[in-house]
Amino acid sequence: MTILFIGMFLLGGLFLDTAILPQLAILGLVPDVLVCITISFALLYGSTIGASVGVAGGLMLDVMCGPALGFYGLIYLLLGLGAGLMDQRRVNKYLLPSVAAVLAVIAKAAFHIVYLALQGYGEGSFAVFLRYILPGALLSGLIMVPLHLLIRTRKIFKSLKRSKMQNYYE
Amino acid sequence: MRKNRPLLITIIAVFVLVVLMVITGGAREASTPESVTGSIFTPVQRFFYDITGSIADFFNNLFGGGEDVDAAELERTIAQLETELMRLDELEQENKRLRELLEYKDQYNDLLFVTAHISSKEPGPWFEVFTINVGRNYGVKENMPVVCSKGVVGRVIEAGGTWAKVMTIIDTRSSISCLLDRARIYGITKGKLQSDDAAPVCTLMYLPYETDLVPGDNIVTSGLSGDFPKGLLIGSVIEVTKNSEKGQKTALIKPAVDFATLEEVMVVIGEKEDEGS
Repeated sequence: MTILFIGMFLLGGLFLDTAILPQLAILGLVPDVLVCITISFALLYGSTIGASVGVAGGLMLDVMCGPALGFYGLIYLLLGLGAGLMDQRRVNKYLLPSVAAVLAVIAKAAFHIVYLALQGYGEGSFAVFLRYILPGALLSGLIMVPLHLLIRTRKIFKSLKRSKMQNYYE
Repeated sequence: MRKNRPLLITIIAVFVLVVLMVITGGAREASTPESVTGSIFTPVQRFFYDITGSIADFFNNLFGGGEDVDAAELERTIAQLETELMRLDELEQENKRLRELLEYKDQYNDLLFVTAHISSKEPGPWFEVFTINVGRNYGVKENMPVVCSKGVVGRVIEAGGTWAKVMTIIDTRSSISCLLDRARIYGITKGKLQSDDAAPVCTLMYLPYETDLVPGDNIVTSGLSGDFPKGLLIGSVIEVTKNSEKGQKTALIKPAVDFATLEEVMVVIGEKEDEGS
């Protein structure tokens, strides 16, 4: 897996999240593409890659519009780490990515609520959670299906290429 | 030891990120790596932001009222004309917005402004922050006020080389000292988490109980809050609440600025008397 491949996804996710999707939002609802990318890499390649992808994407988001450097870096690191630790054998592998994405968006919202509450701005958080976060999380779960397939196809393609090469040398 | 290495790295990474978060929490000048990264991303983001804005407008026009025409040729011509019309409409709108900004600028002859375009927005409903395409290269610094032709937008919270982050007045963390235009009484305007589809509102706080305040009253900046000059329009009162226990009055304010359609803003970089200093 190349850094270029990951970088391409992260930049795409960053531009989608900050420049494109906020303007196309219907009823204020937007999927969280960077969270989906982090979760997808974590599920496919494990917690180390997941956490690395998460921290890289999160720090880029921090530079562009985060409230403090490290805020999104920390959230995405923990999300990548957590998703990578999920035992995929115990959960339906077709359902897992979407469920993980929904849970991750909810967990991210929980970080926001705690961060704001610690600063004394927690009022109205629950209403925001119900109005925007839950439907947005479901939307992220839907987006996760094609996105995960795209990232997974590349993994399958790579492993096929590797086995072909091995057969050739044998 | 080798087995615990990933755990150790994670703990260190979490620690470093938490420390970074604590250090970089307030308004500040962006560090060199942040500034460079932002300078690379901002033009690309602005490109995508503008393109998406045009596409969104196109679909809005399309669903606003289109008629079915069978002839393929006619459809093609209409599509071409619509694209041209959309481009002209976009230019006309931009022209109008910039003219309004110029008129606003003329009202405040003593202030120095820098015009900027919005290049990206914070995703999600928690923080009302956006990025603009001017930074320290145009003299933009932290805490400088940001306005548009309608009134106060927010303030700069971080300035990079060619970009800056702006926290709007509707962000829940924002607070500005303000003045009731009619009653000449000071208060604080605070942002509020927007939990419904209604237009965003702010809260006006710490007003004496006997304050003469009615819906429709204008709220302006008091000149006591950081770099905000006195007399910039913040919004108007839409609802007044009396709190007899605290002996205070609070009010909901409708900001003068429509944040949903905001595209160009101006940063107040100083006063003209300061030019020489």
